[in-house]
Amino acid sequence: MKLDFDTRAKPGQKWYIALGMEGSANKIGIGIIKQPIGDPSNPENRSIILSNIRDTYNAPPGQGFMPRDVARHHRNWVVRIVAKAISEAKIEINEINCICFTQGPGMGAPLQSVVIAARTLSLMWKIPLIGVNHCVGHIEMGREVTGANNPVVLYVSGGNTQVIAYSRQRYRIFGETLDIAVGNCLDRFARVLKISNSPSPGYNIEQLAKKGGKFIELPYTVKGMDLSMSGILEFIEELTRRQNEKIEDLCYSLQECLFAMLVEITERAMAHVNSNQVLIVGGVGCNERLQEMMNIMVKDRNGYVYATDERFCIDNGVMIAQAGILEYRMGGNCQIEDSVCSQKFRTDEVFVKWRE
Amino acid sequence: MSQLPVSLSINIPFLNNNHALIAQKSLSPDPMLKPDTVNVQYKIKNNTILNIIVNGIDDRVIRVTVNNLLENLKTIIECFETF
Repeated sequence: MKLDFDTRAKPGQKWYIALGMEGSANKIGIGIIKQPIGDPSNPENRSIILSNIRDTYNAPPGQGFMPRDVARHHRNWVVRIVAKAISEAKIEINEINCICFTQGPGMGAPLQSVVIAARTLSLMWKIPLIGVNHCVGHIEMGREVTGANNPVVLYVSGGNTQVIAYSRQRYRIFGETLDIAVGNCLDRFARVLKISNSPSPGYNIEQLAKKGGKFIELPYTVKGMDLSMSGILEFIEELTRRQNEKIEDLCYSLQECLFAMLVEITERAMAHVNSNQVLIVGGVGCNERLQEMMNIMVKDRNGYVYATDERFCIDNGVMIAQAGILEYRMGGNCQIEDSVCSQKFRTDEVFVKWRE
Repeated sequence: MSQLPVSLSINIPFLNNNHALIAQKSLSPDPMLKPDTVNVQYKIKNNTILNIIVNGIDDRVIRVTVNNLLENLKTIIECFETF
């Protein structure tokens, strides 16, 4: 089956331009990309990023971010950031082909505060709306930036932990967390330590862990293809309260334990689908220790690890534009009445029209 | 249908009919979280006025709902102003 990506192109059109709007957690990101006509899997037809602007809401040390405060932050910034993204991209509004927004999963109030702006702009400018699954956005952006063609995807962030492989037009979940996400586990540990939430709690833990080296044994809780992390968090919180161990060693041990579990289930998924490529996406994906551990495992299997830097790992608008533009080119169009966001929107609910 | 004894009507004037219609269409898709305690109706009056009627079980849910509606309207109006 040969896919036709250009049924919507007007005569003479050379490019598609998409505006992506992301606001599912504590970051608001607006991005604009331009993609040439023709098969997007051809390396010559890579997307060009015209602008990628993000603003992060950080709670004070020792606290987590509340949906209400995050929604207020997003509302405060959304229109200004859209204006800035458009002026930085040096495009005219009538050149935009589609407006893409995160439809889920994520926190309800922040998602809703962004979709309101997306709907209004879509109606004002008469440009089609495209609803994008946040996880699919991460996967498509990772594939686009790294050029990995059919990898096993490890999606690790503050809200999600999933091992995903593509099969017959779905991104299928091979394994996932049974309770909290790995990023959430790190964030909450950072709260116990009362360290800064800026630029991100996980980054600060990573820096502390580099100074640690003594491995303290923590529960290792892989359950088949899934994993569980709330018990580990509880355990290490108790250790912290007893104050017998250095904070650096605790950070080091927590990272080693969590990442070893992630590497284990990723390796098993690779064996299942006979793949030797791994793509790491999501905020925790910028952790260099995780990338390093994954590399050691993948080297034994003669494969490759693909990872991106913080511009594309951490939530951003460009990834929503990237997944949205593919959906748009395959005929996607989200009616205003159907543009309701959902906190629960599983990766495998999306029919991947743009892959064979 | 349960009883919703408290109600509030707000009128938001817009520059033109198009703006009022866009505001109505942007707000109306989102369902209320608890439809048995509050419901909202949107109407266009005199071509340019968006009339919103909120019916709720008590003052508190009305306040919360209306606050949220006004916040959303601020975003919509900021879009009109900026672009």
